Amino acid sequence: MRILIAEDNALLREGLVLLLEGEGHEICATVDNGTDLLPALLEHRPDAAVVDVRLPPSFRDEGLRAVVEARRQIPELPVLVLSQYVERAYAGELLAQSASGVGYLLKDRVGNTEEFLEALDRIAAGGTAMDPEVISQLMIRRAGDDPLSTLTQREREVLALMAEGQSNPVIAKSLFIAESSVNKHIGSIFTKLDLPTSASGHRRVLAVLTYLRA
Amino acid sequence: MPARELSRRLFGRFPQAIGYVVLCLGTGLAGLGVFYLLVVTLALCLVGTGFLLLPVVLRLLRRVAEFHRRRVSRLLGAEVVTYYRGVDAATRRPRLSLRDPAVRKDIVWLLAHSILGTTLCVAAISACGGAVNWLTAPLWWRLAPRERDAVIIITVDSWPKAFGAMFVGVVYAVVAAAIVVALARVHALGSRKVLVTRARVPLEQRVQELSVTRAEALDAHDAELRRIERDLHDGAQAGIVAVSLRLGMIKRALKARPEQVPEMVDATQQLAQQALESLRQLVRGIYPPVLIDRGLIDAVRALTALNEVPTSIDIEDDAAAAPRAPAAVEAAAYFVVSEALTNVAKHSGADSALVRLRIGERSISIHVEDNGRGGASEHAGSGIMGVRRRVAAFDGTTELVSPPGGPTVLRVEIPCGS
Repeated sequence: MRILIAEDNALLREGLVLLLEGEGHEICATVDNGTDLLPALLEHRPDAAVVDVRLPPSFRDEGLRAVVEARRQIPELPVLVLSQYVERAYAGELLAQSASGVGYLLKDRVGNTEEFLEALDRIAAGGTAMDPEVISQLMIRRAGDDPLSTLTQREREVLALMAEGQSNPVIAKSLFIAESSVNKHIGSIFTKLDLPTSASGHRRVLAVLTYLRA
Repeated sequence: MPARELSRRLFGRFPQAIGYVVLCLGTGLAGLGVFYLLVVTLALCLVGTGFLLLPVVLRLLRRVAEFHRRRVSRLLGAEVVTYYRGVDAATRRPRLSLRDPAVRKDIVWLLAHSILGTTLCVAAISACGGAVNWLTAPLWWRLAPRERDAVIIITVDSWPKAFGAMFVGVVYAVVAAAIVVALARVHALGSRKVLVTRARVPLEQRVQELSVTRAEALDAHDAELRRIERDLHDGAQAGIVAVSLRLGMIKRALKARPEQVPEMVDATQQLAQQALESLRQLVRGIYPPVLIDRGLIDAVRALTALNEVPTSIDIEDDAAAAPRAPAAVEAAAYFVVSEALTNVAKHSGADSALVRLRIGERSISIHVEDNGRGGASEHAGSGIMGVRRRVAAFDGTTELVSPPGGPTVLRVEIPCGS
């Protein structure tokens, strides 16, 4: 697929280009500052964009703002946002429009190439990729004072993976349980949290996140 | 000094110097008037009616002095400031303002400037007039034959004599220009001596100054922290992520294309070294290791050795025996030298520079000089503002002298607080 990369660190940018080209993707553009990002996104309309939150000139959240604006003009433009640290506000801003085709990962995760590539594929397909760190922050915030506390340990693990955007087979694999048990857990989570059941992966995430943010 | 350099300095500065001299002649004559007014007013104060006039005269005096301060600042390329006790003291309580040392110094200056300064200016201008006379000798001889004896000492009555006189005139003009430049400088330096008052700054004003410098120091500190945070995240951390990314690629390549792995490992190692290098630079920017290990003298030596412009160094030797200044003061001194040398290399166009360092028990004084084009200003992004703030945070002083044509001299004094 055609990918746009926005990253100001030259080493990392080159690394990303190498990795993605090695995987057979086409890099349609690379951007190293926030000012050029929005025009580039609108011009190239990539199949997916990998964007650093903090870019020159002001090194605040140019990347994020450009992405939010681009998604306003091109709804559901798949973007994978990379950040040096987890900021709940950033995740909230990203998800405020729509949870489809959105990813928010710690920059460090890029080193785990399999996961990174998998996350990229997932958002390009309209799915979600939330960093476990974001999810655990959201979970911690809510722990203790609400229905989340009624969940069992296993159900919490399943919920966290669901919120990251993982599909049932992946959840089953990473928790070393059968897919049927995953289904069972999800059913019980939805019941306990009073969430509407839905088949679509990202809608599921959206529901979970909406609940967690509430 | 080579002849070209000499003529550049002389004629480069002449227009400014002659302008200054002519202005001084004007203010000198006006100053005499103001001084006369002041004396009359003070005399009238004895009878009482003078008090009505005093505020006006004092304001006039201050205006003349301020005007002159600006001229001197311009000529010397360094700010000449003074501290009056309150702006409106002169109008509300003229008797009190006579006790202000700044006002008294203004009066002394006015007298000296009117008498001595005017004489100097007249001498300088008549020197120029003489040069013009000699230079135009052929003209006088041709156009006004009857005046030919009166114009200059020799009687010009033939072409050879006329051109001889012109040649003398050229020499005369060079000497006159040198005299004007020198006199203007002497006058400005003398004026500065009298017109600057720093001593006995009122406590209130001092507190205000300190609050401002403290706020600036905190701002500078804040900006520094932000810079470090950003450098860490966008430089070092991103570099390490890049390494990690390459390792991930290697892991994939091990399965799919094992023959490419050795090359990829090499590239990754290089990346790791680059990341380390940026980390090292960052650490050096926070607090140079050489400063911790070897002290300020060696750190400054290292700086001068690294500078692009050949830099000589003059360090007082027995300073090595003195106890080390507090780390924060040493760091500030180090950054002053570093910033100054960066400026020399980047902006001055100089081909040599000098760093003089004196480490005393009470203060560290730094003198950085270059032979460049001068005209350094605080507002041209030269970092002098940063130096001033940094030094002010320690209640130190910064003085930048950089007339157009050079040389540029930065003098900084930082109290050690011991």
